[in-house]
Amino acid sequence: MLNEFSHVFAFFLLAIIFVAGGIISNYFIRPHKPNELKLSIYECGEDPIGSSWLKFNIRFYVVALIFILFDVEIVFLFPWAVVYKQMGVLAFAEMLVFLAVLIVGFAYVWVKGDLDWVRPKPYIAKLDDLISRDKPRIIPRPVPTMAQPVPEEVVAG
Amino acid sequence: MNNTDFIAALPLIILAGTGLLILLWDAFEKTPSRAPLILTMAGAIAAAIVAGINMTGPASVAFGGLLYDNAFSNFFTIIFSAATILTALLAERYLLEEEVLVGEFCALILFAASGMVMMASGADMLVIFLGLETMSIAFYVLAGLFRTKTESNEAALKYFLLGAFATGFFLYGIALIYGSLGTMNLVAMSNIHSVTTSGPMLLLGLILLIVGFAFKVAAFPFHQWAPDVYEGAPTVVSGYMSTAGKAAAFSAIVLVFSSMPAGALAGGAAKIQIVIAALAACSMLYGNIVALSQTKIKRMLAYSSTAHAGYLLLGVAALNATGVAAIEIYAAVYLLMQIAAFGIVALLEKETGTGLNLDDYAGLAKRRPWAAFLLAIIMLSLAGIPPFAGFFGKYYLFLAAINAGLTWLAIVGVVSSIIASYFYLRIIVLMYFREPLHADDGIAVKENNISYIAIGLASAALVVLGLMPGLLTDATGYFFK
Repeated sequence: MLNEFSHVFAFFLLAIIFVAGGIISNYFIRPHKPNELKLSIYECGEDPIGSSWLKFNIRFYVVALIFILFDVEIVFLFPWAVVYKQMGVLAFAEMLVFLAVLIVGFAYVWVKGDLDWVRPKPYIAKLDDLISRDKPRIIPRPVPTMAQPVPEEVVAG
Repeated sequence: MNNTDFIAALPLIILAGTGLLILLWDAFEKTPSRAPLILTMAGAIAAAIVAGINMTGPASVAFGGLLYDNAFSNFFTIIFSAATILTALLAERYLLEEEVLVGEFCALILFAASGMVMMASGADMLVIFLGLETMSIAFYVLAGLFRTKTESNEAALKYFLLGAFATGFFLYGIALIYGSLGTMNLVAMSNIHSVTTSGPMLLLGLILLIVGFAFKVAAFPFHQWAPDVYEGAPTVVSGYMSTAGKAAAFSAIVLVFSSMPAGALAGGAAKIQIVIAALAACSMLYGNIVALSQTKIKRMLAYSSTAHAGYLLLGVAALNATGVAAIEIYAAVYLLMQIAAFGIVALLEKETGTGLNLDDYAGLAKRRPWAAFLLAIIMLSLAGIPPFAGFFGKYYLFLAAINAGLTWLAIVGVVSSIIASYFYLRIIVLMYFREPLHADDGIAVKENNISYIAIGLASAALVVLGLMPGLLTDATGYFFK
């Protein structure tokens, strides 16, 4: 019984045998003469400075996430470009909508300062500001008993 | 593709579009204002109106078999819009006092709502999955909205890790069902007449699907995340997650299970029904019994939400016309009760400072007579006392179970309801017949607070729907004889 799924399974098995077979046969055939230089971490021919397990700035991840956004956009643009001639104006309008949604996200990220290396502190609307804008009335602020002291950099606006 | 497709998807487009608009507004507007909340409500009201108009039109399937446009999908769209409006009303004062990002909150609840609409109207398993993920990702972020509070961060991380795991189960389930039926489209699936490869693969797929759903609705063996997440998340968000999110998951369960081809479940159907019935019975008993011993109101509501998921699963186990209509009715009623309950918790949490222990509710009737009165209505409705809507919701669910020959399950439901009435009524006893433990802390009584409008509306709806249950049964298009 060789249906479509069996072909996939056969491919899967072959892939495993190909990779594992290469590594295992290599292990038996290759000469085995380790020395200190061979076992050290390769850093473009330089002497390694330290462990590669170190903390990265969290900003890298934000930039990586935004990069993925546009990576996916390009992936969607390719099939669109292929069928563009047959689809005509409708395809154009649909891609405009898709791009508009992405651009809103991009604008949000840009204006909020997430593309800057040092992110500006977020502005959080405060009740006092709002109330002072409205008609004057006096509402005593509740005493924050249970709330933990809010870190300074978050409060600043 | 034509105009009717876009009209069918219009509620979805309005909700998502308003969310995008708020994101843009939030990026460029620097002065504080309530505009995002007003925009959220406007978007949700528009979506509800369009869904209401669509509901009266003929049923159809839009976008070449991807989105349903029928009474069921539009009913749930209206429910989700109502939840969004109530949440926005409740969130106004709460968010500003807790000093979180209002614009982001509004955009996220709208994105979550658009995901829910996708789940309730998905005619293809991939659309349902897409909706589930849109909703869940918005919820993960919403749970961690208090960025400086440890509990909130813990809630977000826990919810995210467990939710991502449950999504895996759900996706495997879809893959196995596709493997055995050859299609992921629900319309095509229900038209299959002879199923050749029914058997363990389909059964396993359905079980995995149930696991994924049971996690999202916090049913018994998959409920452990719920108390911690509901406690740590902002209270208004807990109210939104535990009602609208649950209703969305149930709408998707009903869609998938009622589309299974008749032949596919032959032999397996009984087993699936037993699995769901067991989940329902365990959730009802476990949720209500554990809620008895809680001393914190948010945890108590979390465990009782597990029990309510059990009641709703009772309708899924029955899976007849009565069951589907009963799920629609109870989802709507439960949404009003639970959002209003969390709304009052959010109010008192501010007013009495700590205010999250059950003891803090002692003597509330003297200090906050209106809050106590509204909470009493909500608790009576949650307990299922006749004049309120909660009673009729439960009645139809039990009726559906009995019609489907699951009398034992209905008995378990009634027994667990009696257990539940203890901890619901205890709050009323605490509020009206006990002296306050702490002296009043002298905080201004915010009787003109906008939250009271939302809670009052929800409570009034509970009374009206309790006195005239015909309003809801007509809307579901099913007439109880």
